Amino acid sequence: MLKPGRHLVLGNIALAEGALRAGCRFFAGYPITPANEIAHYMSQELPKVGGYYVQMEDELASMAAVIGASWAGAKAMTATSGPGFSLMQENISYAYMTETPCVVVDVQRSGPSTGQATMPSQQDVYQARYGAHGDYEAVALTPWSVQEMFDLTVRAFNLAERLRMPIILLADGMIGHMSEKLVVPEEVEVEERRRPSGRECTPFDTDDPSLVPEMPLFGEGYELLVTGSAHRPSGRRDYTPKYLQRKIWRIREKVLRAEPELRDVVEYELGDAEVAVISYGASARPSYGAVREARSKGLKAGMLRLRTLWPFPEEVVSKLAEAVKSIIVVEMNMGKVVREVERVVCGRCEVSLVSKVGGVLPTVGEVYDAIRRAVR
Amino acid sequence: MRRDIIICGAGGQGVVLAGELLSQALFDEGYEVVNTRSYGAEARGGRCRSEVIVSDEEIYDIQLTEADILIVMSLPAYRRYIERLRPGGLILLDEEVYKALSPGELREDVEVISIPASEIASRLGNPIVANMVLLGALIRKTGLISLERLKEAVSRRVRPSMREINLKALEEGYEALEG
Repeated sequence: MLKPGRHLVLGNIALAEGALRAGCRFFAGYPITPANEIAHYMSQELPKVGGYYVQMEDELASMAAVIGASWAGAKAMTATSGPGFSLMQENISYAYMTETPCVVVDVQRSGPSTGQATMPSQQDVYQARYGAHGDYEAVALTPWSVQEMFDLTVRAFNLAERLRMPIILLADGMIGHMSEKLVVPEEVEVEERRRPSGRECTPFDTDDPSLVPEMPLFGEGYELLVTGSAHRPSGRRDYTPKYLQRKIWRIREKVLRAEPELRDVVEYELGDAEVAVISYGASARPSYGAVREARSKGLKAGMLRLRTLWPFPEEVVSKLAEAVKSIIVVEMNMGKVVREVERVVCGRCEVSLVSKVGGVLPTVGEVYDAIRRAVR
Repeated sequence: MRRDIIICGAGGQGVVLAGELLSQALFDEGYEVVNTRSYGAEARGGRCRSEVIVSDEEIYDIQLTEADILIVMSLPAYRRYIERLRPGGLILLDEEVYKALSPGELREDVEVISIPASEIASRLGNPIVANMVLLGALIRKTGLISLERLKEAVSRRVRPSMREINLKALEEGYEALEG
């Protein structure tokens, strides 16, 4: 592991380093560009801290192993890219249903399909939100720098434990394969999962206002049944409608209730802004460069950067719609977050899109031109 | 101050390593640095590129479409990237590439410096260190960092059996140019 202090490291390594410091002690994965360095680093470092690394036969099994490890008490993670993320979706749904804390990293590459396997994109925005079958509320975090690869991975592990669910770290190949400054802190804040306090335990329901039940582990003497089928609070399989109705309500509601603490946006120069850029991940870098350029030329531009993409920060965007004339969404896909923005803005201001596909990032110049057009 | 540098060549020539070592030395000097790499699916022989952005300030434009400095290690890479060089920019290339170019392929609006990097590396005992010869020449030409700073970064990173030849290659590249 890296010593506390200033380092020049690859985004993927910073992410793995954050995972180790958050207490990750199990990694299962299957190789895929541009996520490989995460598995590579974990395979070197996990044994040194008493953890386990397993290369599985595919992504389906990787996700299954992560879920099993979590129920055995380990903080567990897998890392992949678009095609592998697709293969994991069935078991990610199982993790929502069984309320299994874990972290799933998608270092997005340029698709569809094999696409440009070594080049970045932000095309999995909906896959992170809606990729798994069934009804659930997803949580996805989007780092824009090597530092945030570290910071948001620590946060992802903490949220996984707090909410007892999979958290998606939605990175991209640009930041994953980029080296820049990482400052490793002396210590990071680490949350541990809520364990049963007494001999009795109801693993799949609770009266607690958080709606997050205590989580027993295998081998501790509790009668523990974990199933993807509809179940009673005890875990026993039961198809009576009321049990699944309550379950679906609760796994969504626990996220919605936590939304104010999940909400994580950074505002830049929005005070008097007439034009606001909304962006996230790698796209936010040139976007911010463009906002700075616009300000230096006297244009009233600002930016809202989303570090939590899901749940979508509706309240923040709604307020923004009242304050500015125009919103420009910048993303490396054909327009995904822009739809969320349009839904929330609901015609109260102009909404436009700067979209870039083909494995390349929007440039400062392209975003600046869009700002200039919007000001006019 | 901001400089955009592209190092390009074929997989196996140490393009990515050269970018990493240059970035580390610039980072150690206190600069803000962004280093990215791009390669094909091949382990050897495919296209390979390393981008190094160095600046006094935070870096927001993180993917290069143009460069101030181009370091070229193969003929296909030259042809692919030459148009990315800004007018008035600098190109440092291996003499073997330079000799293979037809006159029409040279740009008039940039400074071209040809270094016998492969030849020097072979004389030192291993053509694999041609990348270090070019890095030595780069820092002599630009003055971005001292030779010592670069040697420190290289010493820390390369394995002991390869240390001496890599350092020697840096020195030879440095001395191949007038300061």
